[in-house]
Amino acid sequence: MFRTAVRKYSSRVGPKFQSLEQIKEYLKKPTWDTKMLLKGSQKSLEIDIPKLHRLLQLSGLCTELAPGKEGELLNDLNAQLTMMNKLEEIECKEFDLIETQHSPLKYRDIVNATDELKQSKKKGETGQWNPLELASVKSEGFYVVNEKLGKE
Amino acid sequence: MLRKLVCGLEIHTQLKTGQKLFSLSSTEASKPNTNISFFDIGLPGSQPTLNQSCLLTALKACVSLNSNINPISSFDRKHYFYPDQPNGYQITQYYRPLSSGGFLKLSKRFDEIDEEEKLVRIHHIQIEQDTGKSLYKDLSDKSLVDYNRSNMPLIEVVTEPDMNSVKQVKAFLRKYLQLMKAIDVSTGQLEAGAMRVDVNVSVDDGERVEIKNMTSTAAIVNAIRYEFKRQSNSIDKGIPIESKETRGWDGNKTYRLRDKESSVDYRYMPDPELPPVVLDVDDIVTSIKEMTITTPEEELAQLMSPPYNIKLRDARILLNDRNLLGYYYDLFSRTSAKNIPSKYPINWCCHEFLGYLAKNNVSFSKDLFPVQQLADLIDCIFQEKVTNNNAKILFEHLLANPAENEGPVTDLITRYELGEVDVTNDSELLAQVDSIIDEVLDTYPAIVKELQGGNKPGSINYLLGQCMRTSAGRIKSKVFESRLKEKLHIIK
Repeated sequence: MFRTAVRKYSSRVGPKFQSLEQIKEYLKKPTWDTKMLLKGSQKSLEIDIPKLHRLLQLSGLCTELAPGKEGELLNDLNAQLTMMNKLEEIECKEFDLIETQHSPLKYRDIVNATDELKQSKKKGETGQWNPLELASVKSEGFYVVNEKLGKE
Repeated sequence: MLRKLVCGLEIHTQLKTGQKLFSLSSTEASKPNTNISFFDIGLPGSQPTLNQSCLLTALKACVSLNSNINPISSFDRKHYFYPDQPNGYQITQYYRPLSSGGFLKLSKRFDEIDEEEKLVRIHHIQIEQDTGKSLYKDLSDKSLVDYNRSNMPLIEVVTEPDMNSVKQVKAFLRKYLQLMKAIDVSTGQLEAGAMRVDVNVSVDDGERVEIKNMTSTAAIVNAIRYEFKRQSNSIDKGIPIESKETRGWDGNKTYRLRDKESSVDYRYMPDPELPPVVLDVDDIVTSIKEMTITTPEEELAQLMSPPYNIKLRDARILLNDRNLLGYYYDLFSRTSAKNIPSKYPINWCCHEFLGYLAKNNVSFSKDLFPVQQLADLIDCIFQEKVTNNNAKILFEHLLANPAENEGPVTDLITRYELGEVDVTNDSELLAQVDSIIDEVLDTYPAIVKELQGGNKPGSINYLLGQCMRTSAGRIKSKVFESRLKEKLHIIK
């Protein structure tokens, strides 16, 4: 998606570069700025105070905010949404969706892949590590969660 | 007033695979927190890789439920915070599920529903990962978490709201589970969490109420009954069900969990770490269909027809346990080779054997009683070398003392003095039979009087039973019966 954006905003074709210096010089002067994605064509603000509090709650974050913090978060979230809207406006005709680049799996492909499955020690799949070692509080082989903290 | 019930199901079925969904840690039951990979508990830097074996198993389920596999499906993140979900999200298929549509057909003959036929449509089937498990041991604010279940492979089968009675729901679940077991998609072990069901219930086209997370057919059936009554009562009082609600089931009643307003916003987003699943659908469906799968319905029909001639109820019992079914087929082939009628092997498998196991809380295993020994025991009954009752005594004794279950069955019958005694040419034994009968007749003069008066002719069976008991079942009941009738006639 990001590459798409770059193409859209730098689609001018100039003369051929003659030297490395020319390339370096060219790259020093960007023709667009990511900040452009955060401004302009902004739809009406989508995140308001009730929505912000709901998001904080869903994310398990504190809803009691320091003065000024609320406005700061509202600005950030709305800027993010503006960027998403801008990215969404870009036409992607010349690009294939990722999935079409995969050749479809046949039954045999899946069965063969199944035959080749191998547990990896590097991924902790072989049962040779003790997950509880990472926990400061544990009991009878279980992790212990202090649910009271969540409620607070 | 007859109210209209509408039910739809969301069935989460644990896939029977050796490894988890997005890692290759083991799915075997073991001590808490021992089957965990780095990804299973969301350690930073770990990434998911789709286990193709889970994909294959899920595809088998889709084909068996006549669901249309989608050429492209993908994975999404469903966010919510809970201690047993270490990543902060569950990977599921929200936007593009593995398959869409499908159906399971129920019938009066095999599923004991009231209608001749009933089609329950499937809306879609998706693959998703399971969460860990929280345990609340006491009333403290602490919970214990086991992550062995985290990232276990599940499919969620969502039906259309097509079921209109508890009977249909029960039949659907039974058939679904049998089908999943038959094609090796599920272990079918409900007590081990093989299936968890959410039920949507609405009455008289009111808003639907969802009852979450039930793990047994009994719980589902009871919860629907309760909910139907609760909603009907509310409508009777003039309060229709107008808002969506999520409820739980505590074993006795449903209780409110949350309403529409406080519903969780899962903030679904495509999982950027997992590529879409792109499938050659025709090739996959053809290949899976080529694997000869006998459906439970075909198997039931087979068991209910000659040469087996089993009743639906018993056939179902056999289908519920593939090991028992295999044992039965083995027993049947051994007894039928000796021209023993088909009622013997099924009766001994389903009633005597399972009855004993249920009484003693033991699970079936073919090693508990060698099939050849049981075939020989049945043969002895058939040849009247032992009475049915004494065979049962021997069978139970040998089940309880497997070390003694050695050598020919005929020897065991002799060793425990359980064989039938042939009295026809033995005057001494005939005298013993007479003395037993006389004793019984003396003990129960009232019954004798009734019989002599021509009343309650069936009560001769009681006297017969007493004679059999006194002889420890070693003398044929027919001998007692004819002598008893003779004597009663004489007395008469």
